[in-house]
Amino acid sequence: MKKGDWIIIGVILVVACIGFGIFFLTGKQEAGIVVISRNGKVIGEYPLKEDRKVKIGDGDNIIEIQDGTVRMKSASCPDHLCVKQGKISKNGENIICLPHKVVVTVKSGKESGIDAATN
Amino acid sequence: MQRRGANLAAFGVFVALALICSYIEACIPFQIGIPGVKLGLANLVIVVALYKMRVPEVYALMIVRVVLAGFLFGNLMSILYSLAGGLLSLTVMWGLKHIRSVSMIGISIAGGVFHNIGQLLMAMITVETYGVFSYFPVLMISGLITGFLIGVVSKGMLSRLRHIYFDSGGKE
Repeated sequence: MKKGDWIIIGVILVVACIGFGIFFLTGKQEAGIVVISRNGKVIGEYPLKEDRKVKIGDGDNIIEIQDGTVRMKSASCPDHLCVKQGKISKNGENIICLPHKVVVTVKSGKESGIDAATN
Repeated sequence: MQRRGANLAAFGVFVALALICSYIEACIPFQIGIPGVKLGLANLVIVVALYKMRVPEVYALMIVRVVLAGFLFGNLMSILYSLAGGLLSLTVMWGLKHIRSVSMIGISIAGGVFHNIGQLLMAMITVETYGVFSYFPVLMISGLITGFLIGVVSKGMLSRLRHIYFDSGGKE
């Protein structure tokens, strides 16, 4: 290990910590709505409070909203990474199915300035 | 002429080695519950090649490996992601190789991290969302760890390959 190696490791750690910090600070407020998009276009918004199942395409992906959390119940893609991701519920969290270009994001329902400031 | 043939054979060996690494990784998925985190075994071959072959050949090796591995074990999308990650990471590693105070381990770490960044950028373009960016810190840390491991192995591998030269302009 040379000096340059330590510099590289240090820079990576610092940037990663800043990243973690940003997501920690912005991702704390309770989330309100689930936004589902495909190919970059929003195809549906649903409240996180109401239990329901959302089917995308020909059952390519089935998204389940239950007890204030969202999960990818099933997917027809080969790797099932999105299914393995489990449940999400916090603002800014998301589940992404790359093969089908489906993105499920949780957003806070109300976006008032006070909320942002008090956090 | 003889030299040319030897180079071609060496290139073939490297491609085969990289493909085997991709295959092993496809067989034994290194899954620790975070999507997108992989060991990046094939990067081992790329790092060693960077020290043993000419730069255009390393780029060719990377592209051939990604396309072949993509057709064998992945799909068109995985080719696209791997290509973005691979080319970015190789370019960064090549750049760092010129800096004297950076060793193979540092190069490998940067390669691992930028491989992930490249894939993330490609994901941002194709999925058209900035949400994927929340993976960014996780993938950086994972790239750091896997890159370090790959770097240590590469170093051992290179010291055993010390007496083998391809027509590289292979100044180490």
